[in-house]
Amino acid sequence: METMTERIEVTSDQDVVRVRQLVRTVAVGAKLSLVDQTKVVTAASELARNTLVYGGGGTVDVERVDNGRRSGIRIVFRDQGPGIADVDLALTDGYTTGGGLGLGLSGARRLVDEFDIDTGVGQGTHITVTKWCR
Amino acid sequence: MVAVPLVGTLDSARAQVVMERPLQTLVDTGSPYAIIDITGVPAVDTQVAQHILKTVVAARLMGADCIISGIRPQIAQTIVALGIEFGDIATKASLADALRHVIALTGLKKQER
Amino acid sequence: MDRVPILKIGDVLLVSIQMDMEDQVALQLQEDLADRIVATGCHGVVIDISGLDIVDSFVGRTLATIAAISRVLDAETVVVGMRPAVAITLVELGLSLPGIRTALNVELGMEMLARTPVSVPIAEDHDDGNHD
Repeated sequence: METMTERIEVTSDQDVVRVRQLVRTVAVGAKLSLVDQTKVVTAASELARNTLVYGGGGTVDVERVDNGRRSGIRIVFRDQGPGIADVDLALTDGYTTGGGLGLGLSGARRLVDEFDIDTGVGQGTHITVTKWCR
Repeated sequence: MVAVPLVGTLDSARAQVVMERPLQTLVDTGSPYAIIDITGVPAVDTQVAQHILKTVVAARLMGADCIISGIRPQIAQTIVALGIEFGDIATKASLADALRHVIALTGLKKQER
Repeated sequence: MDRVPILKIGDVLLVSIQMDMEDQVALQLQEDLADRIVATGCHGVVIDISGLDIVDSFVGRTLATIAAISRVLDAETVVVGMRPAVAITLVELGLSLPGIRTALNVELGMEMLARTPVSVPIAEDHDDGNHD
């Protein structure tokens, strides 16, 4: 089966909005429940913003996926920014409340089913998240 | 006020779906209190208790609150044995108690004015 | 750039967010509200987010900042209309919106403001925002 990936170049605030809208559309198509749609769009918003603000801009690829039993949505965030020095720390940053500057990675991770991150100082950042319909 | 009965066993996936209902009824009725009645739930484990807790936190984020009713003795024992803290969430054994509680709370509100 | 309209109703400023806001629009709202509170001397702000289908950490921070700035300007803020799916997601995300009062809808939000005596410190203000 053909899968189509749509790519959005993220270089401005407006692009983060476009990412949210595209993720919503694909999530609806993958038959995710309203709450699951909300979760994945929220995660995408966080990660797309990180790509813009910390990564200096980058790309977001969104595609509908199927594993034979369920449909889902997969999103890949890429940037050539400074990378994350201590990934473990970033992932265990506990809760993000109103005032923090945390990357919100652990929060975004809780909202999706699969979360992969590939990063390092000076290596940019590559994050893949997947959410399946229940 | 609105009372939402939960019936049957709550496995994780179903629990998530079922928890959305009390929150939606808060919006639909504009009532600031929802009673989640668990009389029909035979067993409560840590996951189910967590779902209930999350629902209450979500209701409070929305500007409302929940009261849990229908807690049978076995469930009360399980909750304590599992070390689950319901904190300041009001829990009542019977639906009637929960209703009286809500009436008292809404009555208090009106007197404040 | 779109701006979120602010309506004055008696002693309250009502903001209804109907669109998916760009970050800059949210920041502009923060500024505009502070200006209007000072210009009108209003003591209450109701922010209606029933039109928002998501609230991420940026919007959450903006709401918290608006509430804090308003309080310094002697106005109380109530956020109303949060959708259930949004509330459930915020709980999962771990975002607690400290210092923000909420109500189910505009009417209840207005009632809440009417019950609040002006210039009385709100007890829940115990948090300094540094939780990361």
